[in-house]
Amino acid sequence: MYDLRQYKIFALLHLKKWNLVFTSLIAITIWASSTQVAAEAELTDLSIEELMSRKVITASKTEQTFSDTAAAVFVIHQNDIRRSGATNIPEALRMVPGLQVARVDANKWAISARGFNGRIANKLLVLIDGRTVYTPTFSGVYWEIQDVLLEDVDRIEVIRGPGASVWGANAVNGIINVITKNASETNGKLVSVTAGNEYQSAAVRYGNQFNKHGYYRVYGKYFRHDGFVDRHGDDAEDNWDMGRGGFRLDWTPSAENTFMVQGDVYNGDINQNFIVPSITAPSGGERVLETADAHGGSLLARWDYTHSLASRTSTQIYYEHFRRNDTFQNETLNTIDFDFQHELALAKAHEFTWGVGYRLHNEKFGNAQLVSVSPAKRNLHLFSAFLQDKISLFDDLVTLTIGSKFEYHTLSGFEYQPSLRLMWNASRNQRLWAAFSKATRTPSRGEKESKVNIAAIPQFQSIVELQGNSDFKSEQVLSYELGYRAWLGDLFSFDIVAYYNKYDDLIFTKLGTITEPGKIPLRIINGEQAQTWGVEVAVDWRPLDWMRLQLAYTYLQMDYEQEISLNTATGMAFPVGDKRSPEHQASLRSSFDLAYNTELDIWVRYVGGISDIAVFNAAQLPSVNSYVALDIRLGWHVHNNVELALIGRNLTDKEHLEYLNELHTFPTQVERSFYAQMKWQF
Amino acid sequence: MMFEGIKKPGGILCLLLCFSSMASVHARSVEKQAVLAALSLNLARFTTWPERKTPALNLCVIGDNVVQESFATMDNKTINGKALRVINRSRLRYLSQCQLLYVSTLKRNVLRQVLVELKYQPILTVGENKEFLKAGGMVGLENLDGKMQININLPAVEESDLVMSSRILKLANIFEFSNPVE
Repeated sequence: MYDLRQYKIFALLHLKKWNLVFTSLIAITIWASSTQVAAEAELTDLSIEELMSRKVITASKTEQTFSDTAAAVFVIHQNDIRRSGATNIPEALRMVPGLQVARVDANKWAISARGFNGRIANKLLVLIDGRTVYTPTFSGVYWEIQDVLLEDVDRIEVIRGPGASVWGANAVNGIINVITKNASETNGKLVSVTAGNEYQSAAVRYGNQFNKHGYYRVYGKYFRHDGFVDRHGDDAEDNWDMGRGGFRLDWTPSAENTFMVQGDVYNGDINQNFIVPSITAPSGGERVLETADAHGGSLLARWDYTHSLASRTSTQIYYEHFRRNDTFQNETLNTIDFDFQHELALAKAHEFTWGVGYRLHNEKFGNAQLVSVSPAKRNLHLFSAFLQDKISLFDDLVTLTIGSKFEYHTLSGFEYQPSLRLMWNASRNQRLWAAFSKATRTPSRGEKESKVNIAAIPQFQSIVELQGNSDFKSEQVLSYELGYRAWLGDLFSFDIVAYYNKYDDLIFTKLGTITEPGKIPLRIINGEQAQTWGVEVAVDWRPLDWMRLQLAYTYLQMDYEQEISLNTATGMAFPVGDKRSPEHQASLRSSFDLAYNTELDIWVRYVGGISDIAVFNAAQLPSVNSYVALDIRLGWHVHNNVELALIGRNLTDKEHLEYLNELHTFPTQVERSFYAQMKWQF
Repeated sequence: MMFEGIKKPGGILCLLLCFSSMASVHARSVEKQAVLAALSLNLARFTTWPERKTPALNLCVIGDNVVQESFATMDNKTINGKALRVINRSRLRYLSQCQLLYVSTLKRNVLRQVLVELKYQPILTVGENKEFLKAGGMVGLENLDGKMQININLPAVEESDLVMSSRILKLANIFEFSNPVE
């Protein structure tokens, strides 16, 4: 026992110095491995009666469940979400290495993987229970409307890097896959209430069995969020609220068939600030505070059929409705999607997976002050197919996965996205993998068919208009990845990934021909190339029964090269899109299970500053500096069914700036917040 | 102001140390997965298979790396005069070569299919919780308030011509789910 404590202190004292951390981790690894082997040898000698009387702890799963995937995978489990104190999906994503998560204002987030971050970061695919929540209008994710009952989330799988061959379009830099629990795991009633200075919410869920092999649940949730503050510390008045309800039904009528149906509806009022371009204002812009109305819903059905262990199919169809009306956009979007997937083990060493899909986007734009889209109504079709073979070589020592995705999209034509992955089972608890892949990002209607009023230049009495270009084609990436992971049971795991990405045909702009006085056209072109490289590390260590440390570190470098120089006589060129990402990020979560069923969680995050800000009126904007954030949660299981928690978020400062919106920028700072939570299950 | 000190990593470390010394230090309890593996070994010890001329007893494991690792130390142990062979069967191939099949996590429909295909075969299927019995499995190990319980679906065991020792049956909770899946 004495030795154990010494190790802990030794390791913690030297956390500041990286080389010493690694040395101590190795020392602890060796120590832990010897004790674990000893413990297991002892266990197998015990009688069945002795085993049944031993006190057993259930450790929560580590991300190493995915140890056999030749990709950079990180999994957020339900327990991680609960102990993080997060009240929504974006806040939970801050623990993932390789992801950039920044809060734009009270109701907007910029989230990306491996750089290119933006309010509408276009290279990250997000799915909720198999439904794509990536918007085709501006190629990105509106995080404020992506919500579920967090207690119902089973896990969030995050894959960095192109996962194109199985996952589909726009998974250029990563995939986030939110998976909710099967309805059979949410039987009973749940009431969850949160109250604090920035956030208040109430949620109820009811789950039951409708026949011998069928379960369902229904839920309702409402929250309101206070506004954050502007650059001077005054109320930004960007408060918002949203109500949401939904259901999920799981039915297994026979061993071969499983059915799942789920749906949800939401409605919210979102207050937001824009700096609307104005040639009469001396600064070229006027603040507009307004309420956006956002509502929508979805319905999804899936049928899994197991012909035999060597052959399984999954068929899925969904419908989604989205509506948003504000100064920026007045949009109605209906989506119908069909997917079919077949897993087939043909020969001993081969596992085939193939699938086909079709998606229809029916888009309609009304008049909005800042954005116009022509034609106003449009149907977009996406046909896709993929094929993948996982081959075991040398008696399962090496696994080779080759595959490709093929797509035809109304706006970009035919594309193929191949990938090759190799994994070496170096030993029982070590894996080494490498991957090469090509992926593309489909152009959005915004880039092809819209006009956006982005700035005003009072001296010239002119408005700058960003114009879509019908010749704009897909952005492309070639990605090279190398990864290593090792673990010791549930005690310790280490995961490191290095990558190099080469991008081509990235979005850029160039000055168009002036045809109308008072209007400076800026045309969208495929005018930029980039290279990025980086390293991502995840360490999960349980030095003691009641203590767990989880470290994530992200290093990222981005280099750009434009086809047209910013200084040429052609005048203006304006980098649009999303490239703001910090060079270094680190997150350390420490979890302690203390006496009297209490839990203490301390989460420290360092996020580097963002120097590469490309906003039209950048001169007037504050800089986004590095920050250290601290969250503390104190939880208490009063009873088996009742959990109380006190949570403080962003405790190190009263307010800090995390990000600047790409367009119509109104800098908004994130505030310190406190709240209390009660969850009652019965 | 109150949190000024915490801005420095030193402050955080101090906080960590203070809290860890506050918490009670007790011996490391046994990880559930290691107990599940040891219990499975005991189940094999007290089960009689219909006579077969195989030199080894194949214990097949379906599960992630942590599950695999918990069984790895048992490879080559001798049970009732036969050598125990621990085999990874996560790719669900050649399951009928197993005498004992330990299933950790599998998608619900896949689990049912595995159990349907192995029905009436002399393979002792071991999994977690009572849900495993309802899906057609024989033994479901369950952690109840920190102690392991053995749940057995007796009809499923008997239909497969396996005989479990009364020593186990006495310790176990016996269930009778007949035809759990139509």
